[in-house]
Amino acid sequence: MNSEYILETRQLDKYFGGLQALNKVDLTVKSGQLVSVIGPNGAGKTTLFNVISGNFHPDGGSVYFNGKDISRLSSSRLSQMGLARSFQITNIFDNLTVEENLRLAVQSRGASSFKMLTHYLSYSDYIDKASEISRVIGLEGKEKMIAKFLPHGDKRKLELGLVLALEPELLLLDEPTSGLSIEEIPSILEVIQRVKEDKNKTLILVEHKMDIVMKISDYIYVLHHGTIIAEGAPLEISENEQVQEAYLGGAV
Amino acid sequence: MAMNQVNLEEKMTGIPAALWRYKYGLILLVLFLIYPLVTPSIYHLSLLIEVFIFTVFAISYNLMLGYTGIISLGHALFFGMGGYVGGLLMVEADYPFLLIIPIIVLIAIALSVIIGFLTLRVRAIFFAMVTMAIATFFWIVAQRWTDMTGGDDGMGGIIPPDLLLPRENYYYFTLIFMVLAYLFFIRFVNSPTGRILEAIRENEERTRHLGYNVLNFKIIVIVIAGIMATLSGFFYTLSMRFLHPSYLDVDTTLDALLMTVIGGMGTITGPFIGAVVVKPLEHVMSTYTEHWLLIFGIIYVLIVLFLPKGLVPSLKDQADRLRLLGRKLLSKN
Ligand SMILES: Nc1ncnc2c1ncn2[C@@H]1O[C@H](COP(=O)(O)OP(=O)(O)O)[C@@H](O)[C@H]1O
Ligand SMILES: [Mg+2]
Repeated sequence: MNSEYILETRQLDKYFGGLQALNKVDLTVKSGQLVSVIGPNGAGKTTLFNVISGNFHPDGGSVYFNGKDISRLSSSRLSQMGLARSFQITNIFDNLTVEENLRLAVQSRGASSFKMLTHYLSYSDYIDKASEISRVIGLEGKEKMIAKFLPHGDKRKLELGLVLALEPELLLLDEPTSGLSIEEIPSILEVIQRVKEDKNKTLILVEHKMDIVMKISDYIYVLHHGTIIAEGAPLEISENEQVQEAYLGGAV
Repeated sequence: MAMNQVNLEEKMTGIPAALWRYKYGLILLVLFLIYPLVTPSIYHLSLLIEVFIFTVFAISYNLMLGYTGIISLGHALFFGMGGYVGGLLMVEADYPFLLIIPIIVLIAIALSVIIGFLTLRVRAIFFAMVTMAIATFFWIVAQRWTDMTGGDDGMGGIIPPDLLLPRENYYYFTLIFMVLAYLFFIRFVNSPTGRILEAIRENEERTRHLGYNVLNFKIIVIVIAGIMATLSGFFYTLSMRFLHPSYLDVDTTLDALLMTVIGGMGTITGPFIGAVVVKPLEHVMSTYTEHWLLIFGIIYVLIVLFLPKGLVPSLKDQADRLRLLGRKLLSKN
């Protein structure tokens, strides 16, 4: 294994019945980079995240994280190892408060999860950390709100916050700006940018907004019908004819 | 005025705050403590003993269903196992009470862990079905193995140790049992582990992605629930001084389910309220009709339809709404 890469997929296949959602996907991500995966709806981007993050196991090929084959590991194991993801369709704890959502994420990094007789609020550092995260994602003052009553944009921020709170080495973000209003996007981008500047953190981003992708990415993969049809630096991708065709042909 | 009250509560910390928070529980406890001194009715003491024991049984079910979202259709298997294994060890093997308790607890742990590992990693329905199957199997054994269990005639002569022989003493014993179970229950659900259970109930997939091994936490819960139910069954058997296959049947599981739902799933007060409502009603109704379970079924459906959070939380909602309305009426603009 080449340890230059924090993540590597080799010949990854995933089938849903007769549909091949991933077809021999080879992807490498260098540590400290921000790599984007783009492609029209239904290209297999979310499926790729699902396979990497342990939601599904691949039907063929393997995934390596820091040189270790993780193809068969569970999502909880991967999260513990420092690989965390966000979801395109918001996947938070609806009936818990913002603070409790984040606190649960922080707690999983601590050593108290099997403490059955101490009060959870006595771990005040978890709460401090949770409110720090809520400040970072722009939810300060809303800590006591029940998550399901948040406006859509705030739910997306919380979705991202749950990943940040885990302090992972590798973050997989699935359309973090989807459904956000124009005014809300810059603050989220700023958060992503700040993670990117941390040299110990690596990001894989799925994003539809091309201006963002072109500006923020170090490297881009283009997925179409489960196959990688192009890869390269932003400039190469924007000039690639095949990519433009795929987008014109495949986009809704 | 409401302001002052809030301030008072906020100012108190530590033990006074805890005492204040559970003031109604403490008042009830005092009433239960003096109750045997004022009434000579063995019937009422026995009914309360039953309420105390079934409260613990309902706590155990609430931990699974209400807090973690695990459905068991055979929770009676633990209740009945505690009764049968404990009762038979006492009568047939002459084991002392204090030795029987660790034995049945160990069996409960082993059973829960095995069932948990075999079923909880698959679909949720597996756990529900397998627990039901095992409970049914135990029930058949209890029915058929007449030499040992007396079959459908049941088996008598299961006598508590001398100290617990007087009805009042057994009453206090089960009261302590309930209080201890409640103390554990309250601490447990407010612990870091307890919060993970609620996370699992709310969103199992995300809980996994936060790095929690969901299976481990589910097994912790069913082990604890299994131990509580087993002890409940044993103490119930000692209270009745009698064993019967019905301890293992569907009605017993339904009891726990009904109490949990009626009292309010995932609430602290739920199990006690559930037991207080269901047990006496069962007694009253079973003297009038054999179809009390059917009536409970109807009550259950009505509650699920109209008071989906259970009796007490729903009433509390109503009270809060009334209070708000009152405040609105009284305020100047
Ligand atoms: N769990 C699933 N079961 C069946 N088909 C799925 C599932 N997830 C995704 N698919 C299918 O796989 C293809 C790729 O989907 P997806 O990975 O969500 O695409 P993208 O995220 O690029 O829009 C689509 O045709 C989709 O319908
Ligand atoms: Mg997608």
